[in-house]
Amino acid sequence: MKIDKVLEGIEKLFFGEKDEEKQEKIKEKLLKKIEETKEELKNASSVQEQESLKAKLSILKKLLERV
Amino acid sequence: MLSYKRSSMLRKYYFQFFLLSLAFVLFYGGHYTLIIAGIAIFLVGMLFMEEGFGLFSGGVLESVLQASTDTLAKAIGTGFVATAIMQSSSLVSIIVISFLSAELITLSGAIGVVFGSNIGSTTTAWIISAFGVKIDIATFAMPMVIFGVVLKFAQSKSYQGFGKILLGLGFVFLGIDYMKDGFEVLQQRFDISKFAVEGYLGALVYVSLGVVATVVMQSSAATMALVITALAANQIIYINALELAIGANIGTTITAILGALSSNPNGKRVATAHLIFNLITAFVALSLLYPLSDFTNFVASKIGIAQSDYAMKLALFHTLFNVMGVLLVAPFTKQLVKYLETLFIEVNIYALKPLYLDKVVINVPNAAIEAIKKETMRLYESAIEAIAHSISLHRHIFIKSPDIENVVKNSEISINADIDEFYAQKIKSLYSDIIYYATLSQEHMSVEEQNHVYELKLASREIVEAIKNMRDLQKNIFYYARSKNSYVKEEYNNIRIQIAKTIDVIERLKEHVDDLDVLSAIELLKESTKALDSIKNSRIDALIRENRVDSKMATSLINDSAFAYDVTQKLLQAATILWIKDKDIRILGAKNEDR
Repeated sequence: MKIDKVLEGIEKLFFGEKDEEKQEKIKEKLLKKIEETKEELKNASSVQEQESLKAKLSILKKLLERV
Repeated sequence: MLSYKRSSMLRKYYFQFFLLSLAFVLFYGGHYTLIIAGIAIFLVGMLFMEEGFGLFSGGVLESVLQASTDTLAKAIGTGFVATAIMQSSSLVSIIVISFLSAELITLSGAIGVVFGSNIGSTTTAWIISAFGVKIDIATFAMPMVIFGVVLKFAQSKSYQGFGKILLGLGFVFLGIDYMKDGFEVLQQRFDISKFAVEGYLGALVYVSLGVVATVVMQSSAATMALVITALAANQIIYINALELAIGANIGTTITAILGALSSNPNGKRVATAHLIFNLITAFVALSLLYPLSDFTNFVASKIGIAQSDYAMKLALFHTLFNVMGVLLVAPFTKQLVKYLETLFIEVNIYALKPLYLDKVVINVPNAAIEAIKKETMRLYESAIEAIAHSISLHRHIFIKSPDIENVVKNSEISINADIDEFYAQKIKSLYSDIIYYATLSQEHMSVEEQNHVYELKLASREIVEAIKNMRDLQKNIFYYARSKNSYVKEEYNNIRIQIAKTIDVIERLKEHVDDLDVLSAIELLKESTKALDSIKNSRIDALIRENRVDSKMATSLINDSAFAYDVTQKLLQAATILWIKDKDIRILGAKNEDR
């Protein structure tokens, strides 16, 4: 039915999130997480903690590249 | 199983008795045919309305119920609004039980919704008394049925839902009209109001009649429609109508109990709460029937209901006595929850009988997904127990240990678990149950929801394959751990460490709230496993070149390293699906494998 397609279009237009928007959101989240991890790294007391945070930071950067 | 058999037997006889009685009444009671036809059409209408709302709401009602049951007051309000809109307390109860089974809401939240739902169900009486018996609703019924049928053939789910609601309303109106006609014909022939009984004997007779009518019709709304139309046609006296309404309230709980007999413990608890609530309410309403009737008259006069408008007064009475019930019982909800939690505790002889895959949930997408997820998590837990035992470790020894390597090296190879038997007896059956249930549930889902269930099916498959891979690995771990060759022994210990570390990381990531923390932990482990795997492969090559291991040991080591690597990857894949909530972040994790 044509009306269905119109309704679908309206739904997508107003309620649906576009792929680019989703990617932007994930990017934002990742950047925020990277900043948080950097902050944690600055405050890390033990060498072991520093190492694991560095590894986490590098993974987060790789994830950012994947977006 | 027993309770299921008992309930199906009960249903079988109950149904046969019902058919026989119906045939008898239709054959010998010609005057009642119109009324019975009216009831049947009314019930068909209610069914269509339920189905329609199920399609039309498409998850909105579920989200609302989930978000608004955290306090008792909110839960009562939600139950009221949901039932008033849906015009079906049984549909609301089914959703509530399904949410409770999936642990999306608490027992006290569910009880609150049931309380509110009781008040909400009284709105049917208002609708019938306000429109049904005053306006010639059959005029509206026909266009509703026609438009309903046309819309039912639409492709859009929303249109279909709307069509079914219209069709349902049309049939409900038509049913009431038939009942009205039936009572009018009956009135012309003889006056059954002559048989009206007053006093406590009357109360007993009419309350019982209300109970029986509701149990037979499986709908208190149908009983109320029947009572209101009979009252409007002067076939029963007002006080008897009030008693019938009280009986209808008790009758609904019996319907719910019959339904809950084959349900899970949570379903039974909610049905028991419903029964306790309605029995207390009915007892108090009956004890105070005359004062309550006077109070109804008083309120009716204040809100402008005519003294002679008994149909509206009955609707008011129905609402007032249910509100009174809530006011009486709600303050004791905490005690009620405590008591109910001591009931229906099942001793599970078979460790891996599904706990969450409740049939009641299957048509409610969000709750079904949650149930499948929880059951898959259980499958994971059981698989981890078996995997840990097959590397000869108890979970509590190495999980969250600061030095897993040492724990593994110093552990004794003493657990010789039969992973084959464990798989055949426990994992396989639960896995089949999950796949079967998930496949059935997908029928009622949107494409996005179907994809989520597909992912969960994939997670359970990964878990099962991880176990299968462990079968061969386990035999060699057990065999080579006792070997005099320290090189091969060390390599097998490294394999054990690799698997133990994976289990440990997954166990730790369950505590993360942020999906990105979960994903980074998984990705980090994937990278280190990959790196370790290539180091291990070159180490095995060196051992072969230097003749430290014989050819049999070498082939076992090469094969088992590959098996161990597969096991870790499969567990990590399952963890990604099970513990990352955001679909887009899960996809981000999967992108690595695409490369």
